[in-house]
Amino acid sequence: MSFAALHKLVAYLVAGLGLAAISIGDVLDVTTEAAMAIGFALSAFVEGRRLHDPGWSRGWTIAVLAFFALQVARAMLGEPILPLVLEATAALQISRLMNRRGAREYQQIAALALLHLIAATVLSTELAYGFVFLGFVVAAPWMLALSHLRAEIEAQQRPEPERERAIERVLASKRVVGPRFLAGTAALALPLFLLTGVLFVAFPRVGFGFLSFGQESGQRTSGFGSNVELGDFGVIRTDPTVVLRVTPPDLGANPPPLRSIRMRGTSFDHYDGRRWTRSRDLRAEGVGRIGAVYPVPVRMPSPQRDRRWTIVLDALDEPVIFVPPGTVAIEVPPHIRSGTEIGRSILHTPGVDLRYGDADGLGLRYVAWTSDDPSERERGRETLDPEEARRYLQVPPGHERVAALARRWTRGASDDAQRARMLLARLRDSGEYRYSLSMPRLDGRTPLDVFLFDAKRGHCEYFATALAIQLRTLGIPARNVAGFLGGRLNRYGGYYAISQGDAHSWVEAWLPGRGWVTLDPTPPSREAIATDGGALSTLREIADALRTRWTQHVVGYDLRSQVGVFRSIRRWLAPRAPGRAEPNASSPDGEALGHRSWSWVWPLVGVLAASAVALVLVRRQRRARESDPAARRATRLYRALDQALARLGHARPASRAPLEHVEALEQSAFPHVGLVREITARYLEARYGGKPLDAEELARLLEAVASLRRRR
Amino acid sequence: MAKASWLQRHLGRRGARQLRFTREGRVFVLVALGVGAAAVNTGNNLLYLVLGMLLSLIVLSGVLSEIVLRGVRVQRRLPRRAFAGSPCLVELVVTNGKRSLPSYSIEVEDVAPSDPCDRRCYFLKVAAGNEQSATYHRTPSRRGWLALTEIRVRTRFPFGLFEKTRVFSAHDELLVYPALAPDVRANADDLALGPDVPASRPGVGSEILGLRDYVDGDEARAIHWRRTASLDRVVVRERRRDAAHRLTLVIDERRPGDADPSWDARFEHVLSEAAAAAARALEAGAAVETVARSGASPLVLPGHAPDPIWRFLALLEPLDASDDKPLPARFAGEVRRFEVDAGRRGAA
Repeated sequence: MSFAALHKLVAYLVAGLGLAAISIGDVLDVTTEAAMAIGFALSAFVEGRRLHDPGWSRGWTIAVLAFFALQVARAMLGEPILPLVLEATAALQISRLMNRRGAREYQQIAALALLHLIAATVLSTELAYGFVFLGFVVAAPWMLALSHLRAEIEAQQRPEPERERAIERVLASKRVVGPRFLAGTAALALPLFLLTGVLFVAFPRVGFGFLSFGQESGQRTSGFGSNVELGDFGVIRTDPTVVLRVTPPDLGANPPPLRSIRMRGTSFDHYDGRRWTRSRDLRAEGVGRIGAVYPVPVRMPSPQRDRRWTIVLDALDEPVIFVPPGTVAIEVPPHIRSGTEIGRSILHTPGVDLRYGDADGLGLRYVAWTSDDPSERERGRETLDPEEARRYLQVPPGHERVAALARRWTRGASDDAQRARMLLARLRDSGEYRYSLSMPRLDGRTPLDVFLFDAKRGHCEYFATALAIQLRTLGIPARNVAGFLGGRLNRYGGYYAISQGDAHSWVEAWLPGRGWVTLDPTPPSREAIATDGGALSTLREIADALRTRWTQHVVGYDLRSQVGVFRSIRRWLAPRAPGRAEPNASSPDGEALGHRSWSWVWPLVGVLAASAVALVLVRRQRRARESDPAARRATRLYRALDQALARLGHARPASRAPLEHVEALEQSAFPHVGLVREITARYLEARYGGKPLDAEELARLLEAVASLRRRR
Repeated sequence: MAKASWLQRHLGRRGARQLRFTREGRVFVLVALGVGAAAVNTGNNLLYLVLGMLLSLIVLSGVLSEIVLRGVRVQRRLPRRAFAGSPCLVELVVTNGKRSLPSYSIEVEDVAPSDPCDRRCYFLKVAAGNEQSATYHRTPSRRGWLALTEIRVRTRFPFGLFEKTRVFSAHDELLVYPALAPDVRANADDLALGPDVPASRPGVGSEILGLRDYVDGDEARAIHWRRTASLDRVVVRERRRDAAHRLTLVIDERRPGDADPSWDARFEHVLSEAAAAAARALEAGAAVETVARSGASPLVLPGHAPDPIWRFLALLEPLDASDDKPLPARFAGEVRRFEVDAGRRGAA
């Protein structure tokens, strides 16, 4: 490939990465992105004289200035500044691509692409940025090196009028940068990447936080806001977007691929016949912390007795903290600003939910401590406060048929627990009601009437609402709970991924002596809706594992992580203290200070040593070959003979030795086999027999080879 | 005696290095500083990532430029003759001694402190183990020894952010002959040369005197190719010298006590005239020598190059007025006197 073609290709790669970077966030609309893509693609076809046409260049300058003026006017009319600036820089990049005359324009393209990459850091923290960055790491050395060489080529050429022609001649050359140059500059990506990684890890994280960053809004999801309408969950049931990653305490060596992990989010107490809401008098309270631990909803955790769940929650539009059943406390790492730990703002609304109040668009990584002791759930709530009981017994008017049905289903029951079981048995286990994502038509009736008496099918929200209202009509306090139920093992990340499609609704009922009890009336057939496996699923798993690590180790890297990294390094490097015991297997991280395992080092050393030996041997061989002119001459002679024979239709297969080929020629009655034999013998003598060819003899033999060609 | 420190020895082995920012490099560093400030302020890890990449590019740039310059040797080839005021070609040969890595974008500057020259030779690519040569025009401003003291090899490769220079000490001297005054040629044509008579001395003539080894300055047409081939060394025919005219160029290099500041320039012009006259006379078949107060040049026979005379003229320095060295009074053959005062110049 010629220098010019290669430079153009790399410039488009870099410019494309820059434009892709600013397209990652949701700042630019689809129309703008489409216009950018079209302009980008069209510019590739602008070639030759047009690039050097002053009218073309002037036209673009005017167009860009007019576009800038338009952006200023739009800004003055109150449009958000950020998209306008991004559009302007994108337009400028396209203008440069349309006018890539020489080194200066190419340098501007590289600078604008870098600007886009920098700007994109405040637009999105998605993994896609990581891929763009990686692409930049590979392409940046190419682009910078080629642009520099082009600038030098242009600077060194003679003045007009031969200048343009001379530059074109050099740029059209395929010898300036060949495959080795490309491979060499591409190989630079590795040290560049490693060095970038080292610097990234080593920079002290003392963010002053004078400016905020990060996307303020997270993924949109239904069911966790202030209200939920029947039917919302059905819409997202098939959405595979992962929102939660849960590492249960009992993950084990061979965890099952699917697991029903219930993650409680929020609950609702008021139902108006179509929609669940929360009463206004439910107030959230700030929770104090002890270290990173927030003793809500029950108490401080006991690491010996309680079980530890690690949870990574993506940023959702509702900052709800999802916890597994039996959660007694949560542990949320504090923020670090200017080297100081600042605790997260955790809000607890008893009986409703846990939320975090300082959402920064980066989601939350936390630990939930759970207890297996059922008596600890809502400890101290032996009786329900009358006001609270009244709230959870509210039934909207028009549900008399539902109440009658509940009484009929629970006829003969002696207590509330039995009533609850009987209702569950009818809804979930009888087979009379089926799980379905299709929405029953209401035609002016209440959803529960349609669900219970007519359609008899629906999704979790219908089942949960039916059970909650039926319980309430029987005088049993009940609330609708929104959360997630599901979990697909991510083999690459070592966690269970819970997606938007796992959003679920169930019921919590107050049973005397047992407190709030979880009741899930949705039939198990819900599992059949689960997304299937296959290559796409595997890819999705890999992408999510990467995304999690990206968020955790890159986006979420802070002073604490940094201290942890340095501590780990120190631990690895620390000499083993004499007389100390073997690593304590029961220690949380499996390694005590002063103990290190070097077992991984030996394979690495072996690979490195083998590579070094191979490299030395190859270099020595090459050096020997290069330093022996006699051998070079002999090789040259035989190559010429090989080529001549090939032209005559008697090419030597690569697997055939020179003397074997002579015999083959003899057998095929090749007329000039005598000459071939003589030259082959001389070649072998010179190459391996220690009788070197001198230049004169080489010339004579080459002439003989040439005469062989002529005898054709 | 204090031993050289490790650093001194290391630097000595590596050769002196100079590093300076290019315009693009300054902008790049400013951008990196800006990104760094933004990263520290916001704590945005993606900005730290970009900062890491920018700084890594700077580090890589330094390493690669070092690799480019490592193993590079430069050899200077001076022209056989150089005249003051006339451009001469100096050849610079760059050898890349590295076994596998090419050197890209090398600029070589040949430094003569007394005679600065802004021409540099540029080598886009010197393949591993190969050499490339380039020439540049140097126009010495004055006659005499031109000292070329060092060669600077610089590169802005790979990214054009910094310019790294490696300085090689490479001392060479080029003897610059006086400029050849063009107006003297016509004047020399009127040299009154008599009929040629063969003599027993070697020189320009029609009869062969014998064969001798080739010496620098002999004409190619004088080479006896057959004997050269048989003897395996270059030999030339030596001809019996026709009895030729002998021309003595007499130059008075003493600066008068009342010389004005322009005397030196006029003296240089006189030397230019003498140099041109010597060349013309030798072409015309005369034997030429130059005589001055401070000495005399060798006698150059016809057919030989005038370099001994030009060399004498190149090194002839004016004498003070107090210097009482006399000009020789008697000369063989014709005499031409060259004096700074143009009005009194003429043949004796």
